[in-house]
Amino acid sequence: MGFGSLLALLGVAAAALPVLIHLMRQRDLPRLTLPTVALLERAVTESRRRFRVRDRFLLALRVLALAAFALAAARPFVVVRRSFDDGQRASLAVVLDDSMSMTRRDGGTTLLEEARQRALRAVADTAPGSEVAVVLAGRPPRLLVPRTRERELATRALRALPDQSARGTDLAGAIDLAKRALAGARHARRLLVLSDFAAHASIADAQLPGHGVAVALERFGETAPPNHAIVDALASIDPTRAGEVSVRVLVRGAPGEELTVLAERDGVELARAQTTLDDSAAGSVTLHVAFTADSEVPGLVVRLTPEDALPADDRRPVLLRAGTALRVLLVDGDPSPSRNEDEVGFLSRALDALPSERAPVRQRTIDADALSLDELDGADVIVLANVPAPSSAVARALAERVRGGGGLWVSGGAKVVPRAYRAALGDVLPAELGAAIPVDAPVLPPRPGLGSARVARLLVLEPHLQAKVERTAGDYPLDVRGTYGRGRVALWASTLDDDWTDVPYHPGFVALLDEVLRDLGAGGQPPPARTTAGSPVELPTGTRVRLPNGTLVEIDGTLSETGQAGFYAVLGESDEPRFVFTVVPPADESELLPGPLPAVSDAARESAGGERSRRPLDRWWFLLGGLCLLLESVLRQRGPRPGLAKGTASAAAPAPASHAGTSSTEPPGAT
Amino acid sequence: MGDGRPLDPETARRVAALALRVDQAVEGVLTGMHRSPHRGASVVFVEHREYRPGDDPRLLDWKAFARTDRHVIKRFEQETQLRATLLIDRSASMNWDGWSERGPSKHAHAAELLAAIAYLLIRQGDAVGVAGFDTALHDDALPPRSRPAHLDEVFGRLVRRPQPEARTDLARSLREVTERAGRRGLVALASDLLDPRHGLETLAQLVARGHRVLVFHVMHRDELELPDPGPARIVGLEGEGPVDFDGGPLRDLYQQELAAFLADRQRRCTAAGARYVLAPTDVPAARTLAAVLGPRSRR
Repeated sequence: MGFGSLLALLGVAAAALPVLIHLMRQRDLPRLTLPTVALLERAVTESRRRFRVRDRFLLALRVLALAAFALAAARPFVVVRRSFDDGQRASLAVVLDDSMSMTRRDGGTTLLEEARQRALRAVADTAPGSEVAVVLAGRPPRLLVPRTRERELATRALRALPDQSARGTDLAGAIDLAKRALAGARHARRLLVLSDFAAHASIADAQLPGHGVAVALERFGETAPPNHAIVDALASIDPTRAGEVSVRVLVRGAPGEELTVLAERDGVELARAQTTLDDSAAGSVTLHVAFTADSEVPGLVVRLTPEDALPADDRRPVLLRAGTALRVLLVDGDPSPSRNEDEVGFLSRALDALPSERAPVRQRTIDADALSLDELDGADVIVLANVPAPSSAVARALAERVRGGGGLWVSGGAKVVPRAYRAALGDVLPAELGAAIPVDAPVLPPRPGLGSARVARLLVLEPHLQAKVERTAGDYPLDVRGTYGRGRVALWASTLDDDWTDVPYHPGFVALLDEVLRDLGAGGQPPPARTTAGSPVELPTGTRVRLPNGTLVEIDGTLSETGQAGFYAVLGESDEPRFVFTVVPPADESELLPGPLPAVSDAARESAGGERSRRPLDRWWFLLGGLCLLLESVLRQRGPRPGLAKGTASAAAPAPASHAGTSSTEPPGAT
Repeated sequence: MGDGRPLDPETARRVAALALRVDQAVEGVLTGMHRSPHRGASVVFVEHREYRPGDDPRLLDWKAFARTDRHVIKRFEQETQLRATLLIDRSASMNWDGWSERGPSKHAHAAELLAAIAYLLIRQGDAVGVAGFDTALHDDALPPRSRPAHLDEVFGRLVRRPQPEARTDLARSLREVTERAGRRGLVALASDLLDPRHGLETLAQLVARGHRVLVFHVMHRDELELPDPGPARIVGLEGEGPVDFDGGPLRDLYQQELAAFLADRQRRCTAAGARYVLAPTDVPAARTLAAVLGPRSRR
């Protein structure tokens, strides 16, 4: 305990006043005589027997009251160390590291489970009325539970946390998120960081909050167990082995360590190979696995044996085929026996040249005259190339397919009848078609491979407000895209052959087709074939994705549930996988060496066991002094002075006027 | 009483209006107003008795003989002289006139009480003796006399003041009185009875010898009420104490002890056959005596 005003402590000497007064009064007592002093002596004896405790208690109360007031004037305080378990009301932010390195086993459980239990205890130990927020430090940092007084929410969220994770670590980002969560907190702010503080996740000193926030860093897993891991696995077509793919697997572990790599699909071993790690603790193997383009199985899993403390990095999904084929129906409005003069000749050849690692495109071409409702079936994207106008029945069927998720691409040409399009597909198209005009303008903005391409003639388009438009020089809309229902529609103002433009002669034409067709296809632009755990994946709104654990999620523009390693399937219109991509853990998460704890500020260092603060005690001492005075007054007024004594005293001292007749007694027998 | 007489004229006048009638028969040499166990010439008829040879024929009741034809004689009470012994406490505790120092001391009040009795008795022809005591009877005791001139000597003995620090031995003093008082009579004791051993059992011996015993328990008003003098160190007059007094509950406890003390003395006196009279110093002696003595009867 300390004192704000030490001089005021001199007032404590006032506590001796009652004792001094008592002693001085005894010393200077006047001397009186009383014949019945023997009675008084007996009264004193009785008084001492009866009132000794009370009198001493009264004296003690007076002394204590004076001492309490003097101490209160000295402004006493105590330095309290607020800990996370002190039962004080607080605003607590828990940063829980749910990265892959936390899933390693330590004894019978994982570090992540230990940290989760610690977080649950910390939440449960907060006093009623406290606020709790939970932030997850796996990349990207996420606010699992915003600051709330309902601790049960935090408890439920923590318990529902997945046991496995392939995420990287972003402690700094998570701490920033926690600091923001604590902004405006009503109570003492506390930050509890639960992590393995591995070397790969080290944070700078300054990233911890300074004064005003009590910080506790708790490390899980003090020592690093030996760990081997698959660093990378990549499948490629092996030109030397027909019907097989080669899967090259890079591994890391301890120098000289012998490892076995297995390729499995649905638990069935497809291939295996052994490797001995070199002096740099690295090694690689190549596995040959049978695979055909028509295989329904998109990939396989490579696995290391023996299993170690961190099994999450001993497995890795390998994607062999990114998706199913995109079915494209080409409606040729100006067919020709010569492929170079055919309206879709350039288009068809370009589709054949699409990259092999992507999902294949299966094209089908019909003449515009043969376009019927039956031909529309089985097409994901329908291309109307220089088609005068669909019939009303076909137009209704097209609109219905697009509304259900299909794609429609309309290109210009001399045979196109804009008025008929406006009448038949005016609601579906993202722009109104106008007359054809000569422009002779370069394609802008330049696309890769189309830098010098020019457009000589095009249809004048009037895009709708929501349409996405790319214009040529001269501000003529060239590429207009929009949506209709769940589907997508694109308008190309020029031709897809060389009648009105030289675009088909440029290498960027293939990329343009690939981009347009995959955009119009159900599921839109396919995601990258492989992404790191935790990285967001952009997908069209409304797309449904099946996660590795089988959960179906509907995407609102971005898929953020990528914390689990494995295969992610982007589903098509009838829930069939349209694209598949893999999520793999970051390589640095396999490094388990513990890093140094950040050097925190003084306030934060003290707060490792709690925050130091001065808690004033003066009001409590004032209250104690007041209570002593009150109790002394009550005891003095209502002390053991029985009314019987006064009554007896009255009887013992007869009034002068009546005493004689009442106090005299006759002896027995006297008359 | 400034002239050395313990009885002031006003007290003497008021006491004169009282008559001391001792209901108990006493023996005396002189014929007086008190009844005697011996029957004889008197005007107070007591009973008839069959005549027996040797009886004085003058006592025959001729009217009764005429009515009943039987010889009976009339018996009359014989009035005798009372012998009274006055005992006054001369211990140091009696020489106390309170903290306020107003009013008489306990000794002066005791002397006034006994002087009133002496005056009354001598005035009606009874014999009065006086003795002072503290730890024993003093040598200046006066034997009972009935001469009016004897009254001055009685007063002179009564006003002799106590010796400082003289203690009290009631038992011894009363034993000596018992030995000297002789025949049946009246013994009047005025004392504050502050003897730690009380010694009041000896009163029973006096009563057994036929004495009528009056005990005037003289207490000062300040002793009875113990006014709050403020914090003080209090000592006794006979070597007791000291006691530090600070009022409050101690005063109440003193009152309890005092009540027990008064009740004890009253009980002991009554048990011995004596009449106990509490005589506070602020109560006039005449009023105290009026409660003890009946009004003077017409004869």
